[in-house]
Amino acid sequence: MKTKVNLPIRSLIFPFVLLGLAELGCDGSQAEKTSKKEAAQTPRAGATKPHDSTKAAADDQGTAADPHAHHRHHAGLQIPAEAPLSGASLFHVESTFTTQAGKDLQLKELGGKPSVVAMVYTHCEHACPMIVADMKAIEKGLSDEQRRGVHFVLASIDPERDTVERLSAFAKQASLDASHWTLLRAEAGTVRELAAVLGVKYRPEPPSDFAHSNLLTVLDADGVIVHRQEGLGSDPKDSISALLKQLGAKRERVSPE
Amino acid sequence: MHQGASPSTKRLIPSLRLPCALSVLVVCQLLVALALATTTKRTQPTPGRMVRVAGGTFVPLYGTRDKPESVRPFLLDALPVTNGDYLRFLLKNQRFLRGKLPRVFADEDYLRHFEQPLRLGPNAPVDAPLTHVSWFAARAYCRAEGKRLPSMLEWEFAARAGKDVADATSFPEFTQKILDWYGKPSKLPLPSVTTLEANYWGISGMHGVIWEWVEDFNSVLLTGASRKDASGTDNELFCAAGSLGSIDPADYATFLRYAMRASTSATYAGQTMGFRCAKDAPLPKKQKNKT
Repeated sequence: MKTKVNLPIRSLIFPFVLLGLAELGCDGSQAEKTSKKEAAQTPRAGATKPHDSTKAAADDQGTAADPHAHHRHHAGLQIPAEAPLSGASLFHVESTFTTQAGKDLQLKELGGKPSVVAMVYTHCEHACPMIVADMKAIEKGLSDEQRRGVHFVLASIDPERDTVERLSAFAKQASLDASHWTLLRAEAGTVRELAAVLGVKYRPEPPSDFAHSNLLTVLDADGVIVHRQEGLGSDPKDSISALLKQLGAKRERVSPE
Repeated sequence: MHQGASPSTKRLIPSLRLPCALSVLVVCQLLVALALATTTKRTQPTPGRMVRVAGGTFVPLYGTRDKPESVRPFLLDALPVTNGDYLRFLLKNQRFLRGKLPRVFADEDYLRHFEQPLRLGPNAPVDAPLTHVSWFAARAYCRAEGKRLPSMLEWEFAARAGKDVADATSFPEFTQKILDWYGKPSKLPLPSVTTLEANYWGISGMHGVIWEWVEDFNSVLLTGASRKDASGTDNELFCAAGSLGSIDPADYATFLRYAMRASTSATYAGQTMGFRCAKDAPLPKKQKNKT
């Protein structure tokens, strides 16, 4: 049976291969691999593509050419969910995190305020307390009012041990004001993803430690990276001025009440 | 021979309206061919076919020195994901189209070799390994297949296999072959995955054509950001880097892969980056798993 039908297939497909090459500009042996529905769709989708791609290209250019495009929805008081988001925004990450209060959180919920983000683990004895201290130094450089306009975010690279309870206890122990400090945990794949968008590198160092980048990232109110502070014990002034710039920009955009 | 196609062929000759007739011909032949093809499915190379890699232990280049790491049994795609495979994914997941995928997930080289966002074209042969793909996109593809990217440990473990042995890293000719490839770029467009040599596990093309994404590519700390890291990781790496002249060539080939990962961003979609997917192996209960 198998050997009988094999030959007809080849001869049936062969003309398609030629036509496929001529019409689709792609290798005709695709017919063997794609399902008939998809293969039939391919030329059609390809044909309608100029429309789609110009639209996509226009969208792309829109955000690239107009750096303020992604700010408009704030001024217009639109709900950000429907507004076009900059392609560079971390808010495109749709994975769910859990806060130290046990609440689900998606990154886009940090929108509307600039954020300072770092990845740590609470069992860390050396670098992480210093990262938290560096973030606190930034916090200290802001006025009370400015502080309330900023998210300070610590995301754990150690989801196994950093439970909600542990994060909550850590926040208390380190006197992190819950009104503007958010501690996050997530499943391992989501942690990798967050590290990837931030450019943080980390790996477990058995038995109980992690090696990791010491990196603070400042995001604008739309989740776009605007500043990075590398290394431990760095002068916080650049991060502070990056935040002030964001806070100032936001004030300009929002009309006074 | 041509029973299935003859009606449309008859129509074709008198009409001479080629474009129209040709598309009718295409559709007819495609229907018949696919109907028949499904009956002979098992004789065709199946995309996404996985093979089982029995676990084991080995000492990875940048693991904890002298301590072997153990790898649990896992399943790995026998072939790298091809342009054709990825096109099928794009048809169902159009937010991953070139031009639509946000920059935060892929740089401007993403699917650059496709003629159109949904058309492969001459630079992207349907059976060639997919390249120009970011870590995010590779991951999303595997997830859509009910799979995941292999961990670095898994990938490196499977990549130690030669044609006939699970660990060929002590054979100079094995490592020399890899180094030779690293020394010269692959010819474009890339060859069909069916031409790639299978290793001991039945996995083809782990060396010689593309670099492959792994889930924890960003677990290699090599420079810069962690200079003041209290863990002292960098010393370990710099020691390895500094002693390249005296270490095993096998380690040198591996070192290059680690260095590449360390310097790569997750949005990188260069012309040498591809991937294949993995899966946890079913628990061994003396049943032979059929994938």
